[in-house]
Amino acid sequence: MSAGTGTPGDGLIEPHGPSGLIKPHGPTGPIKKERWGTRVGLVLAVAGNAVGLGNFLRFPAQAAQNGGGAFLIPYLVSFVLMGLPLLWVEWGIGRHGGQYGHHAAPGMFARLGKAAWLKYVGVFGLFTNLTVAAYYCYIESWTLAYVWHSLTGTFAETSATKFFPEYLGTTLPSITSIPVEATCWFLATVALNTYILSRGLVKGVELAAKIGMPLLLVFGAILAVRGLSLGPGDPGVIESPLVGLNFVWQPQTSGLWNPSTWLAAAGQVFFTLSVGMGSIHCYAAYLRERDDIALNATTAGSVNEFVEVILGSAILIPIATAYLGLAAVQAETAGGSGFGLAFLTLPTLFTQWGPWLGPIAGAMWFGLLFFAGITSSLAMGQPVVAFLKDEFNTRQDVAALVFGLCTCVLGMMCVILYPGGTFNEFDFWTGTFSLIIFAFAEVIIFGWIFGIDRGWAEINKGADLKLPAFFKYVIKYVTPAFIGAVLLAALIKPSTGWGEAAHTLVTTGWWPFDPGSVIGKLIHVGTDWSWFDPKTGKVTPIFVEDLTRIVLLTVFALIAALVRKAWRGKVIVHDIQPGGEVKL
Amino acid sequence: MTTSAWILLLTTWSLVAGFSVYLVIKVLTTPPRDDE
Repeated sequence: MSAGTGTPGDGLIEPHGPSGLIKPHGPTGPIKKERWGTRVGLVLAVAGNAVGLGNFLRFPAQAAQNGGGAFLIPYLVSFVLMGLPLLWVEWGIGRHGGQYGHHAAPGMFARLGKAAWLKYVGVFGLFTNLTVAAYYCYIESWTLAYVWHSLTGTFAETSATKFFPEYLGTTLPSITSIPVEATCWFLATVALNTYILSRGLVKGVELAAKIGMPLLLVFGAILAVRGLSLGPGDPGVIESPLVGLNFVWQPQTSGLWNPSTWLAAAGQVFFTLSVGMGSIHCYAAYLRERDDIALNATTAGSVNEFVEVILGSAILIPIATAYLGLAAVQAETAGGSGFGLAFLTLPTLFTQWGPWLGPIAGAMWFGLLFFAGITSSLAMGQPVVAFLKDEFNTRQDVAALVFGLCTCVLGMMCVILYPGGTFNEFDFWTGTFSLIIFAFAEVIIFGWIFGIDRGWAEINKGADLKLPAFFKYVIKYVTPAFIGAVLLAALIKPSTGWGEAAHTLVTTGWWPFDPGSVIGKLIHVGTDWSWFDPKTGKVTPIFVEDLTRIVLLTVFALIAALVRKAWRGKVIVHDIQPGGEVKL
Repeated sequence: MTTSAWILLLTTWSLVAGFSVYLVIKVLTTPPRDDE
């Protein structure tokens, strides 16, 4: 290959090569590009990335607490006006960057405009994946442990409400004690992720999605049918599971006029699609220039909705209601999450299904959650692996190992300091706030810096599905406004209703920040800001929270420094067309 | 379950399932591009 021939991968020019000559970035000779093996594999992998534990645990609780069936109206509106456009934008950015040899966000964003700072926006696409993977693998490891304990009959002897706190180490005397079993399962989970990633895209990620997603759908369908068919004749059943289904779907139309309902719906759509992470970009980067993205992206998003809206609402709450009664389920899901029901209640309830079906049902439920988890955590690992390969010529297995080690180190913080609140801090700052920031930035950059005309053409290049033209304007104006509203709500969510908070602001001059809002968390609203307990001298959860934030900021800075190092001495040629001539 | 809950559930499930199945079939039946 000569320096003057542009092909994907050589848009980055190193002017200071060993011989002093301008040379293409990457190995000389034909570049063998990594591609998806099949289109079905790609769609399953992207859908698997989106389908996570939240589809089964968060969605039904959010729907039930925010207007029931009426929640579905803002939810579907948000899906169409924010979720789908974001999916197309991320696929578009990913495929565009992939043509220049970039499979991670920094390189892709550097290609969206001439400003040097654009590549640093892409730091979010690595930071989020790495840090979310750390605590997400921990949750994933719980599901794996629960599969084991379901099959070995642990929950027939010990209730999950007793088992889980002991497993997590919250019953240990110090907030820095190490929960041994949880640590072992966590390390096993990270090792499994690392091994799959080391096998490469087709033999690793794609194969895992082809096995995991069908099994997830089969397990989900079996549990939904069995759960909804529970009746008065079944041992332990005190209420019809349809009462639980009604709890999720009964429309409370007053909720439609409540801004909180719309924000909750937009938030749920946002998190369920795994947008704002950088993993969709990475998967799309392995497409060819004229491969379809419109149909693939829409299908992957729809499969996620199928799992969430149908299977997600038909398992957890109906089964729990059948055995516990509606009042108990309402109390358990009051916070908008079904995690407690899933890990504390359901394992014991499955023992009512008999000595054979009970363990199998438990294994299917937690197996389903495990497959939902691992297909997502692999999608978090791939961008990190790709970044190391693209920018530092790291070998696949070494890059996977680096990801595994980083996940281990950060994840162990979550394991050991779980009782102190590190896990929740990771979840909030990396799994929530960082996503919104990145999505807001990317949709602005795509629509306003890359340009909506070029962007729309990029999305529709090679499309197998004709997208309505009005979405061009939705991407430019409506989607940023939607995400902006979600971002604003995350920043200043009040502890009271919005109207009441506005009244408080006018009358007292102070906005009542919710302790769960970004600003509320930053200033530790409602807590005594002390790092050490004055009586015992031991560290307090506030210390752990602040320590976690410092660690996360350091990780972000380190990734930014790596990006800076990777780009040092490189000149980006912006007028190069993939496959065309380089004009120096 | 109340009638309104049934109506919402069946409408939404039909819409989501129908759309998903249509798209999956379209993915499976669209021949691969042969431009390389």
